[in-house]
Amino acid sequence: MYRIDYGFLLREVWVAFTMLPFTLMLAAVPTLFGLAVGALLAIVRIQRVPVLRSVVQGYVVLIRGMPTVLMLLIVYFAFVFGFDALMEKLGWSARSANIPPTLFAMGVLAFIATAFMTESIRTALLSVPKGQTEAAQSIGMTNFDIYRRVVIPQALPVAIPILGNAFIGQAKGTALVTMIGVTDLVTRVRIEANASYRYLEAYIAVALVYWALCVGIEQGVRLLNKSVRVRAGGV
Amino acid sequence: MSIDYFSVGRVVEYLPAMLRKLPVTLAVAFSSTALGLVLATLIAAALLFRVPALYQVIKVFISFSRAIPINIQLFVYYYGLPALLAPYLLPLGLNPSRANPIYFVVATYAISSSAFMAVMLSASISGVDPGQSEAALSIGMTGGQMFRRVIGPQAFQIALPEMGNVIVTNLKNTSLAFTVGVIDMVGATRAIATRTHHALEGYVGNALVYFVICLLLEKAFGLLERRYRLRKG
Repeated sequence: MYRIDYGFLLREVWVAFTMLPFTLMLAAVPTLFGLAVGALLAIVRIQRVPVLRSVVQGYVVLIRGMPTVLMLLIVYFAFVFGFDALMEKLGWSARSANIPPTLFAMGVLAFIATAFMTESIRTALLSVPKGQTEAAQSIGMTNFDIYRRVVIPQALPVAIPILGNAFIGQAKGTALVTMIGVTDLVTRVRIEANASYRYLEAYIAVALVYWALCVGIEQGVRLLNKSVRVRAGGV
Repeated sequence: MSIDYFSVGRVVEYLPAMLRKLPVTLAVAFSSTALGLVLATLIAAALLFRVPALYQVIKVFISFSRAIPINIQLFVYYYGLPALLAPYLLPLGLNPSRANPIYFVVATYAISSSAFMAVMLSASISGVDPGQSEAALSIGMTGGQMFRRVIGPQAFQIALPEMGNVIVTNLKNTSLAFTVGVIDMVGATRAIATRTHHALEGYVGNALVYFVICLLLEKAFGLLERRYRLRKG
């Protein structure tokens, strides 16, 4: 009969908890990047900018159709091999081993976040009825004003829950960065478990901390959503 | 020294060995979705009928399954299920610690996706206009008839897009099975990488295979959705 070592479990929950700010950063920075770039790309698609819109569409479809772990590994290996080969050719002494893996991880996660954010923002912007834009055009508003005063305020209540889900998705994705050598909560806790073979307790600890993180984000999004709805004069 | 870190030739060269393991990947994805759907039906029933006590337990289970990264859930079940089941299975001469890890992967994805599917099922059943069930009852249908002929078909149409998402997610998640030692497509790729020291081409080929299957699944579900589109008056 397997007995859970609750002392070890609690200690690992604490270890994982102390790494939470790092994980939150790994989730938030790419999401914010994705939000900014995704907004531009969403507008590129909605305004039907020639050529560019096909490129954006291809990128979104490609990213959404591939497992995150493979993208992490591909970008990691492509960069490591490519960078070293290039540096060698140029005769420079810089090597990829000196670049912290956290940077790669953030780069890949940002690349992924952008695709998901583009789709989320596009969905939210398209939820505003066309008549609203047409009415704004009819009274002579500029494109910029139409977005700022008519479309975005109405799209926001729709966007927040979708973006919140995307953020939770990104937070869950951070659990994979351990595979390319980033020392996050998963790595830390696993190293501690290596000594005692108490992997079950270690992963339960990680699970509990992620659970708390995602429920926390969910509650935050709910509060934000409530305040936006009130300001929009809705229910 | 020449730059030889990526060659399309090697992507093509490694593909056959990878594709030989594609059935493992597909088997994991589809069996876990099917098992998950069965589990989800039971869970959704408990949710809809608000079975006391069970309802609260299920709420916690759903929150847990949706919030925790799938690779962490995989490890929790991989180490947890043998510990939990050993007292029952050892007397039968079965040692769960020595079982093929693929069973734990299927179990994890089935359990985890059942949470998503239970929400999907209960939401789509309660999403059917209440006037529909009232109308069905008013013409004297029994509860079973009402569900089979009126509620079920409409809920099916509502659930279909989300069902597609769940299958695609389960398929993409199979790429993590290698972390507990399953030799699927990614496992085969890693073996090639160790042997040849060319990791990149294998992963690129792998990602392309996943991409094509995801695309096909999305197309298939798009067709199904069009076929069963809700006809609104």
